[in-house]
Amino acid sequence: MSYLIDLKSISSELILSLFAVLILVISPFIREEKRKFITYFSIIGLVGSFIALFIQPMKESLFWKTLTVDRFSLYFKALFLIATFLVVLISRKFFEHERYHKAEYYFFLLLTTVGLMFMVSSVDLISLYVSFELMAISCYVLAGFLKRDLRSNEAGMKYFVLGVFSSGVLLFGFSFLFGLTGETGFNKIFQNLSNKGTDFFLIIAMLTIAGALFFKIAAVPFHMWTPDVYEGAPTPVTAYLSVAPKAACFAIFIRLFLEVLPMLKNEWQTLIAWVSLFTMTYGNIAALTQRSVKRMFAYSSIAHAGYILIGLAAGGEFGIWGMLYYLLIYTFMNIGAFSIFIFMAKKEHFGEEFPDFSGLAQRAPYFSAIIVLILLSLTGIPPTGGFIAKVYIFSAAIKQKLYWLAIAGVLNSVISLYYYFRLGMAMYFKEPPKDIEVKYSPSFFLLLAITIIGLAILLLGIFPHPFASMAKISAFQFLN
Amino acid sequence: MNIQSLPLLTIITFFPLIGIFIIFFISKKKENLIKVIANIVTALTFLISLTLLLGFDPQAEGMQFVEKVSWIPAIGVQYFMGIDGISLLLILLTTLLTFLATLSSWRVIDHRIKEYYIFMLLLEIGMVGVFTSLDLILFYVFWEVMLVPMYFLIGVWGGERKLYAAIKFFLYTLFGSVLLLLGILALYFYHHAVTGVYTFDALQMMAEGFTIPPKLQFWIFLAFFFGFAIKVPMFPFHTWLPDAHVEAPTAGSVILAGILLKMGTYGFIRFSLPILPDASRKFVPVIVVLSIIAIIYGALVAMMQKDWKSLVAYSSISHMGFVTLGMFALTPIGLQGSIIQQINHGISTGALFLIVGIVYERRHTRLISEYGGLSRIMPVYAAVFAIMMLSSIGLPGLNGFIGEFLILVGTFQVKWWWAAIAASGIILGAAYMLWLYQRVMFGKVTKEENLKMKDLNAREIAYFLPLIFLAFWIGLYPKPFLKVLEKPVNKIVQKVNPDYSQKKPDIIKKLFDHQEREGELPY
Amino acid sequence: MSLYSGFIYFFGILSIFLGIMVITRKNAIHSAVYLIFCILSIAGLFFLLQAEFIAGIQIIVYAGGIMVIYVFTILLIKLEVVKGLKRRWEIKLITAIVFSALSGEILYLLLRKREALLPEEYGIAKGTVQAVGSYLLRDYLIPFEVVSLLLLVAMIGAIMLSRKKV
Repeated sequence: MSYLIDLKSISSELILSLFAVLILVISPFIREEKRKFITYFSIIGLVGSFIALFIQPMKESLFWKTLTVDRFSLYFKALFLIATFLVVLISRKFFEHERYHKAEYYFFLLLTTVGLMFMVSSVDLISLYVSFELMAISCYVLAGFLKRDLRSNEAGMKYFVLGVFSSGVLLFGFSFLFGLTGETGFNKIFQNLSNKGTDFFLIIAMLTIAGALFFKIAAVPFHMWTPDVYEGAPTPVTAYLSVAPKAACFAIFIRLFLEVLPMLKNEWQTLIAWVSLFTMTYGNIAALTQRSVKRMFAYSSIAHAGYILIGLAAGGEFGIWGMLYYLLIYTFMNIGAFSIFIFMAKKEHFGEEFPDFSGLAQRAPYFSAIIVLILLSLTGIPPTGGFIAKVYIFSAAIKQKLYWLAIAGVLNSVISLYYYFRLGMAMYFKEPPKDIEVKYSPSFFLLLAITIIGLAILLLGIFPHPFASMAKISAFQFLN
Repeated sequence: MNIQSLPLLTIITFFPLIGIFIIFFISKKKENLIKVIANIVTALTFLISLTLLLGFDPQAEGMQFVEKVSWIPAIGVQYFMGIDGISLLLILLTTLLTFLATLSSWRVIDHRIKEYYIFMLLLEIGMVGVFTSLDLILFYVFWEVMLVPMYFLIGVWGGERKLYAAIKFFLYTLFGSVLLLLGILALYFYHHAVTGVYTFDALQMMAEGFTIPPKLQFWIFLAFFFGFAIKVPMFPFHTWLPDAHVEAPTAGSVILAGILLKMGTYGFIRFSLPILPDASRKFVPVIVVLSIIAIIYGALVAMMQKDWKSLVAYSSISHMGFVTLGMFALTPIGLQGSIIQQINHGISTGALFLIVGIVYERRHTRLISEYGGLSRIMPVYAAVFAIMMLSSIGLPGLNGFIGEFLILVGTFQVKWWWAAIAASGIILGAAYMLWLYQRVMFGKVTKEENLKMKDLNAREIAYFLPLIFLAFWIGLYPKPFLKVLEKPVNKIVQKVNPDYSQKKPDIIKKLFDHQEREGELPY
Repeated sequence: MSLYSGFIYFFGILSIFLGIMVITRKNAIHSAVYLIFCILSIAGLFFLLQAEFIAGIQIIVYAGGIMVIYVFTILLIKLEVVKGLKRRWEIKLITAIVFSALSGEILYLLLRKREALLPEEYGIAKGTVQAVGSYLLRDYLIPFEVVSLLLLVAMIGAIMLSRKKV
């Protein structure tokens, strides 16, 4: 019974699924006021799963070649668990404030993470698609989780309709791959395709798969859903959506394009380079004109997808491992960015417009300092992690002689400085409004999350070595 | 104990961090305690930086106090610090001016004191770091780090148009910096392609035997040029400067003019010239023309200013034009003069901003027409102002003269008419400065309010004294300064302008003799 | 003509006949009943092509599950309203285009590329219940298990979002 041994290698996914289901089962037996317990419970699950990542044996091929547990997937799994952990920390205050603290939320959150973890481990079209759907469906529910809130309903609906469409497109692309080769395993598809040479339908397959993934990472021209969904979805969910599924889709991009479709390298490199250019430029220019800070961050996360795509377009060692590093720091910065709104939440939609931030630095100095750190990192200014990540990405572009892309990238960072520091300006340079007395009382968990984020941003910027080498090792298999 | 073996540069660079930590944990109510600590920390930083002099050997070739630790081995970034004479002088200037600027803000800054001093100390870390680092990425990190506190200093404690000035400063300099970063990366990959080593070590980039094809040099130089020229600022990129200088609080202007601008010229000297010699030579005409325009244009615009502070700000553009002119003469004398002039500019313009700050603190206006006849009300102040104004003009016996003279001599060797046109800038400079002095100091006291203005107090005199002392020292006995600069400057010229030393050996000899003599002669 | 091809023709003609009956009945319930038989006869075709699994699925899912929903829907809506509707010409046109495109495609394949329609060797073996079972529980065990989570998520999500009580 060989697969029983294989189970060991996916123990972290198993632990997480177990906890998710347990939450669902025990939650009816817990009284409403003791629901806080669920938060601890999910944190224990996440930590257990995280520890399991380091213990479980790595194996190239599991379960009849549908999964692999390599360093690459482990890196991403750790990243998802960190993201989920942070999101759980910031969730509690949000949902308590909304008076809608439900155990199901954690169930969906954990299962989304399980879906993501299977996604990055998949080396088979079927398992990839199924785990993709597990992730996607949980995300739709999460986006529409706040039933009373009209914006959340709208976000859930929009995300669902467009998301299902993109899943269909992805499946369409997969069906071409299957149709051309008669195989579902990545390895076999690759072997089969490399004997055949390029084909018109192969390009169609590549385009459709890329299209569906562009949708999930919110790249131009499939970004339209992003601002509305990010603005409407419950804030912790937005933080999660803007980070974890995106990272997973980048992982799929890397694995699929470099392992299965390297014969189309010229085609997809060109495609991605242009998409990346338009994505970052569009995201930044649209972010410039926003009045809502939340929408600004939504557009900025579009722009960041563009930067990360530079890494993929350039490829090579700097590109791929730069992407991994970028995604790690991006996880911290973006969750941090969206946690701002949980901190600010007072009354309905307060803290989403620029004037709400006036003089925040004098009322909440510690928190403002961390926001500045996050903003610096998003802009890519040292000594933050965002800088190191951008150095990687831009060096990749220069190494591949994609000078125009590198120049576009750095100019975009300059543009981004303007709108990020509109927020900094509001916080530090404007006087706080005299008439409203606002007291901020962040919960312990929120404070913990913010502190972790701040430290991580500094650590990744000042002592990037351990993380960089981890990213390097994890990307190693794609470097030839 | 051997001073060279201590990690002195790291200590100097990060010493203000201690102050930041302490201040961070002090309640913002205890304003005086915060001020005292900030002043002590900056003073100590200056004192520690003076110990560099004990261990510094002006005769030694290459870098001293070198510290080299691997930082991000994955891409070959090192924590690589080291100084030569050029950086030594600039570091001392930085620590001194930061201390004086901190001292000068004791009473001016009356709100959000805790944040102010934290940003001030952060700024010092960034500035010293820029002058000590020899790894290109490390350099870039400090270069950018310093932008952030400056942005906040202008934005929070600045004048009326502070928001505009702050973001303009930030955007402009970041624009230049990111192109600089691209240039660094291009250099890095070319170095890897040739040698197979991934490194950002600037010394390896300028090592013998590593040459970059002229075409690539051209592009990298252009990228560097944007980064550095915006910071200097050279002529078409100068528009951020008047806004930032005028809107910044006094201490901010002092540091902006005194140190930040030097980072651009330092970048040219340290990196552009020796790493990209062919392109540097090719760019000489462009930069010389831009410098001459800056000299004349800056002076003319300064003359038109109604605002005292923006007059000083525009005079900076003119002075920095001299600095870049001397630098791109690519002769040892021009380069030495250029560096000396950077120090001079730091001293005299820094002092001039402090001088404006003093009356602004008392009257809250900077319009020249608001003043007049101050020399009778504030005699000590008038004396200090007179010295600093004359030093800025370049009166023999004061520091400005040495710098400008060396620059003109250096330039004259190459093309006499460059020097001739530039010299007219000196005359214009004398004109606007003397006119300013006349308008604010002499004549009748036209405004009632001015009568009540107090003369300098002890603290204010204390922070002018070192500057005055330095102005006279460099003016009368510049030899120690020139001596420290001699080796590194010759090295750079050999690299960037090798023909020079071959073609005119006797002229060099002669000029050096001349220069020695000049150093010894008290004017 | 062997007995085998006789059955193929029988089920083929039967399903076409039943299909025509489905769309020509005035009473919707009648149509639904004809549809059940139509599906069953198509299941017979699958069975003859040795796709036992699909035949079984066809009966269980379509004839069993989906038809129940159809019947429910028919019973829940007011059929009088539907009767009163005029058929618009655009809809007729679109129907005609889709119909002729599909039948044209099949005719083309029949006449020009007959071999494309013949079941390939491995295709037959993959259609049996045994083969599908071993795919699901061996080769694609993990996707199969993930699907169970997926269904759980979909179910809980649907319940949660559609529950009246907020």
